[in-house]
Amino acid sequence: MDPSSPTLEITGVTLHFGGLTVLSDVSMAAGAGEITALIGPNGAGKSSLVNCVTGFYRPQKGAITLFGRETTGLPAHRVAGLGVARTFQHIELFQGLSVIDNLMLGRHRHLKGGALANGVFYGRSRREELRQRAAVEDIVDFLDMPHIRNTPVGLLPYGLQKRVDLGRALAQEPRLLILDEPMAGMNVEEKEDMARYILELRQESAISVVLIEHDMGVVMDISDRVSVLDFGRFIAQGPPDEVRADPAVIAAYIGAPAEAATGEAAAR
Amino acid sequence: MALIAMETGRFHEKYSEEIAVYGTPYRKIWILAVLVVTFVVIPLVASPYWLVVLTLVGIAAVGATGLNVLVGYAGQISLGHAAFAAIGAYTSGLLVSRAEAPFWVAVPVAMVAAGVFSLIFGLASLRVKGLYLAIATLAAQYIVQWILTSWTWITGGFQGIVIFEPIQIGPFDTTTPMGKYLMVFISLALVVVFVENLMRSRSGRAMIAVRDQDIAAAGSAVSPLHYKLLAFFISSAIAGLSGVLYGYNAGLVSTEVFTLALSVQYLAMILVGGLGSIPGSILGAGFITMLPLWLRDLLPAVGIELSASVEVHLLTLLFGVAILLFLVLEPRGLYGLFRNIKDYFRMWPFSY
Repeated sequence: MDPSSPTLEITGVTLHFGGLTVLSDVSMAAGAGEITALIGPNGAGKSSLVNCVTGFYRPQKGAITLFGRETTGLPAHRVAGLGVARTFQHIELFQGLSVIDNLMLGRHRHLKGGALANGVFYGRSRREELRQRAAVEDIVDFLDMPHIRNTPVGLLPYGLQKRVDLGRALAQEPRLLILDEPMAGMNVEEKEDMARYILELRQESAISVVLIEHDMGVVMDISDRVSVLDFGRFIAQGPPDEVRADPAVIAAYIGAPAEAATGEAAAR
Repeated sequence: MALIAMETGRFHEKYSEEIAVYGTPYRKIWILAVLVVTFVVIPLVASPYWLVVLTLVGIAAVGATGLNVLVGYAGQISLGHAAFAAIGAYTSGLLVSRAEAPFWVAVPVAMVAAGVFSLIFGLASLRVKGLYLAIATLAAQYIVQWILTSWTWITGGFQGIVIFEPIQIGPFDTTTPMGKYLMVFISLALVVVFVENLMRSRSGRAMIAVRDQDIAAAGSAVSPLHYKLLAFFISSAIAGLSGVLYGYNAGLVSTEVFTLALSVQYLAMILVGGLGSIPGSILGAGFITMLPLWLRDLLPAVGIELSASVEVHLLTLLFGVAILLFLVLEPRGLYGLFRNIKDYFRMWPFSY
């Protein structure tokens, strides 16, 4: 892909819920093959922005371009069909299905054959199922979960459910992977595993990643670019080192001396 | 003996072995046994009375399996399945009697007609869920009943009676109890194979995904609209087939057959049998269909004589009690009960 055309481009997106402005005139870009972190205090609008990108929310103003094609207003399943996969902040797995079946559902867009072929099964449908099953097993191996492959996900502990959620997104073979707090509620060890999976992914494929995360250590370590959202607008965008030193970011996260804060407000 | 029944120590070496329906030798034997009993033993030994009863069970089982696709797997609800069955029955009946179409044209057309008609009400499932969807599909029930009784130019006169010409191919003849039995159970077998295959592949998985988490399903490129409508279509087409079978079995249909009570009975069958389970649909259909017969035969045997009107009301009461008991005590229905018993014996003499 042409490196000059970003995987994801958001221009001037504004989103209201009734009288509440969640995002106001937000613009950002995520480069091809890069890990772009999206950070900000709780309620800053990070998940809302992701929901706009993935088609779950429809912004009132602005445009979203994915892989050079405008997708504003497309329904979620169409956006996913273009090769955008996401994980969810609050795990949204198919509780009654096994790990394998959750991942197979992720393969949905790669499977061919309609209901009639599925009902007859023997022949094309069966071949397809077996071929995609092999692809799913690769992901099971990659995420180190062969021992739980037939367990219904409802029975798994939280950390593993998060991993299955990632697995389902990977099963889609996305060009853009959006991770909404993949490490929330995890211990250090689980976070390290997750970070390793993300880095390994980037190394092995041309995948672009947008990562929402609260753990600053992880964000600064693995991201190529960081965008900081506060009260529905970006206050800083750039490489991790620059963003870390940005006074506006420090003010948003840990507060600022009174005069600095008022000076910042005046500058805005 | 117990050793042979254990399923431990069996390792799959290919993915194809894992997705096979008859994954273990025991399942193979079970399926074979069910087929032999259904198509060889029962036709040979059953009395005409039992053939008639089982035929009714089979017709109900087709309808219940259809409804289970929608309710058990796709997580939607329908109180209009008797109406969809009516569309199937009347379409095929009229095609055969008026247009003189052969049954192998009329039956598929009838199934498609029932499926397409249900899509109108399926569209409501996009906007509303649960109770509200139940009421939207209830509209289907009343609209169809009204059309059948009011538009006499369609149904042709008194009580909308449409005669079904029997199917006769060589020795196969649907005027005999045996012919009817075979017609119904061959249809049921085809429906069961179709639904079972559907549920272990792409479309069925997508339906279950929409049921469990429609947001995550959309995030995985599954269109909730598409699969809800698909579930409505398939489910109602199968219900339509059940209506057709009713017509061929009874020789005629009238407007009084496909009432709300039948829709509710279908729901009772899958609730009692087990939601999202094909064997459950069949067990539930058997239970609900034979309940009145047991009531009629068993009560006098223990010395209780009831008047006909009391019997009818007692039946309604028992349906309610059965549904309540299953919902509270064994939500997975008769099939869940069967699984529990099977697991108990597999683990025996240990508790787990």
